[in-house]
Amino acid sequence: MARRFMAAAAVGAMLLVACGSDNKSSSTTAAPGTAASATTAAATATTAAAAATTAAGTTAASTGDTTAPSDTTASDAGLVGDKSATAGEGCGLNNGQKATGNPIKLGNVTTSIPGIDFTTGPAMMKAYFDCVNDNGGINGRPVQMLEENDNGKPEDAGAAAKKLIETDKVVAMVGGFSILDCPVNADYYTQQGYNVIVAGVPAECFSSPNIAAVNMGPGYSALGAAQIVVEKGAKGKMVTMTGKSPTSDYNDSLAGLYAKSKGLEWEDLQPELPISDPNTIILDAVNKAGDGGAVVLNFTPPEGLKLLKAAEELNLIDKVIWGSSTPLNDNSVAAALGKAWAGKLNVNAELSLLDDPRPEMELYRQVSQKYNPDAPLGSFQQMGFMIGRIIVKTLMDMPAADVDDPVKVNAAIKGIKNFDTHIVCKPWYFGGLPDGNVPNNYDYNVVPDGTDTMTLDKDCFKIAEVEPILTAVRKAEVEQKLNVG
Amino acid sequence: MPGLGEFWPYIIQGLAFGAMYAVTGTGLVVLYQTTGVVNLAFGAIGCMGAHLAWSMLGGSLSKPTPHAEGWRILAYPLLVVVCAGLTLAYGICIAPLLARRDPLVKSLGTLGLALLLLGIMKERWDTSKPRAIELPSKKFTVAGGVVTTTQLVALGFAILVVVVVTIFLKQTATGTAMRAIANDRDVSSLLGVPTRRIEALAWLGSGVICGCVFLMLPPLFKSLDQGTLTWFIIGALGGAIVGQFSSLTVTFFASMAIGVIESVLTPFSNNFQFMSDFRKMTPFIVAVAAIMWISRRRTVVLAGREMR
Repeated sequence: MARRFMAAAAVGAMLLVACGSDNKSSSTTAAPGTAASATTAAATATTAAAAATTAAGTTAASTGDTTAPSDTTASDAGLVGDKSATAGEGCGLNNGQKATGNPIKLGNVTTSIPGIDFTTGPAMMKAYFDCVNDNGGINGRPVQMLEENDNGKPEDAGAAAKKLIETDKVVAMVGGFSILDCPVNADYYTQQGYNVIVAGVPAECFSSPNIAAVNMGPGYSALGAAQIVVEKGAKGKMVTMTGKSPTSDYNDSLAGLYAKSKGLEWEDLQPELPISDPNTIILDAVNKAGDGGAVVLNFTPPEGLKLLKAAEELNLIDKVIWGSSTPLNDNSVAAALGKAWAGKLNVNAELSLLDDPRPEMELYRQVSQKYNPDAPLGSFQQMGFMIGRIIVKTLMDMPAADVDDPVKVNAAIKGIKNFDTHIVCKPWYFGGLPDGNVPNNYDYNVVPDGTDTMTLDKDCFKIAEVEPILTAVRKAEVEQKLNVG
Repeated sequence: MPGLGEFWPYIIQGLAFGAMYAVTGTGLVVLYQTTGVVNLAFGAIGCMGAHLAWSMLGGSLSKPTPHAEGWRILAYPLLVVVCAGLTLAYGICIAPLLARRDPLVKSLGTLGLALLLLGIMKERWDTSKPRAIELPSKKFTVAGGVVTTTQLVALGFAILVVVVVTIFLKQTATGTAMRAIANDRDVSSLLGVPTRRIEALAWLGSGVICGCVFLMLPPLFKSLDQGTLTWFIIGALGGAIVGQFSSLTVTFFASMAIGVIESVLTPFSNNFQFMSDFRKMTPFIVAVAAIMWISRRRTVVLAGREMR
């Protein structure tokens, strides 16, 4: 009797469950973003030398032939290159004095669930705010970051935004890293008059007039990776992979459009997260891609690494050309992959290299080391830092009396343009464009170097226009001079 | 639909996971037979041991997959010791307090331990970054499929555990005492069987098995994913249920079958995509089917009428 009872209880439990770096960069990489600008008349000798270094590195690190026509040649106009950072030097006022008084509250909605944990991004933004608060704050007042977890549930995402705006009275919503915030709350933010800066994941983060992302999200990033694997000679079939989530159909759709436009077959695989059988999943993907095909991953580092280590174990590395969206641009990934993957994984990098020597990245590393010492350097952290730089500079440029007024703060956010930062290829802007905003639409390609660093393989290149939003965005950039100085 | 020959690499992977299900199932069955507890904390305890071993191996965010060098090789035995110690501590300190409660309450106690350990791990080891433990391993090709020594060790260990535990239960005095307690704890106690000591021994044995499983499981999973490792137990329960929490041999073969079925369903696509999508349901489907089969002759009295 007891045995039967336990068996029934055990099945019940099973069903319940069923439903239910620190960076050690040592290479002396040339500043990305300088290669293209080196061809301009204003290029300095230093930049030209850097470009030469970059070009050499590219050749050395490339895998596969490059006989396919290139779609990734950058238009050099408007790249940030070595321009001075808009946010200036140091944190905030950079005066070494503690900020005092009532804090200026900034809110964000972020996802932290098993298999999808984006909290490293806001953590770095908070680290920057801590640095700002130790250096005079926003004209003397401290910044406070309030973060809410959406728990991967739409109802929680909605409640989180309402709580932050109506109860906590945040003056701006910035630095959210969420799979649900944009689709659930875009209309609410519009009603409330909030212009939101995020690190975007789902399509709505790039198709809503009142939301702008510092990154380009899994959709455009996987597209960038697809461009590179095609350029490196992928033939026959491209298999894209992303974890099953509310955004998964969007994540690889643009890469799929690109593959088809190049005459490749395309199949998208969406395993459950967290991945518990990496060997069989990656074996399936490579078999489906076929010899000489391409596999493009769209996962966070913990999930992506499982698949890549499984591919190594099963001798699958050289069967296909490998690509990945931005999250695997992380030196801890390079360290875990080791020699077997040297130069063989093409990671689309939406943001600059982690050892980029330009001042903005140097400041990021310094702030990370002092205020977020346990976190490795990585793309999500760069995004958090960049959003922190943008909002702090925006608030500092406002009259002190206006920074507690959400209407004025959000008007100032909407007006951001030509924000030079060495973290992305072109100056950043908010836009507020009717079809959506994709202010970051030029990328890098990086590869693991076989030790512990992701190195530059291809400098700033143009993300392909496979859908109308990006075409409209690029047209508006020129017409409104959003990112051309 | 893939051709028959294409299944071989998937069968290899499935046998390795099936072996881990089998060993875990064996640990669960032996403990249940002796104490009446289904240890739902088996996975969490193993996961905790693996995380401590990862730290001792020198793992860090810049070195997510540390290799054992010098004294750090002690991390592997440490893992087993931690698992055995935690399991034994629960068996000595908490389990006796619930000894006279019904089986569900006893098992819920272990669920509480699992959740506690999961919370500690989440707090101490940030889940947003990769972590893994690798064992020194070689690989070779068998009929076109890649086999690793870790997979072979997993399979061999599963067979060894089932054989040794079966012999132990049937041939030794302690094993006989364990079976006696499983039949009737009070009568065994009256007959002079040291129930507390025998039960503690069962907890210890289960903990050692747990430690050994978690030496091999992270390399097979390629990660220390806390959720996956903690709830690995759920998949393993399928085999134990088919064996009715009594037969180690049936548990072994059922677990192996579950592992292989789960794996070979992966490559199905197009019209058969649903088979791939639902492959993780395999342990549940097998368990439900087994319960229905086991209960097929059971008589139920409904409204005063006997029904079959």
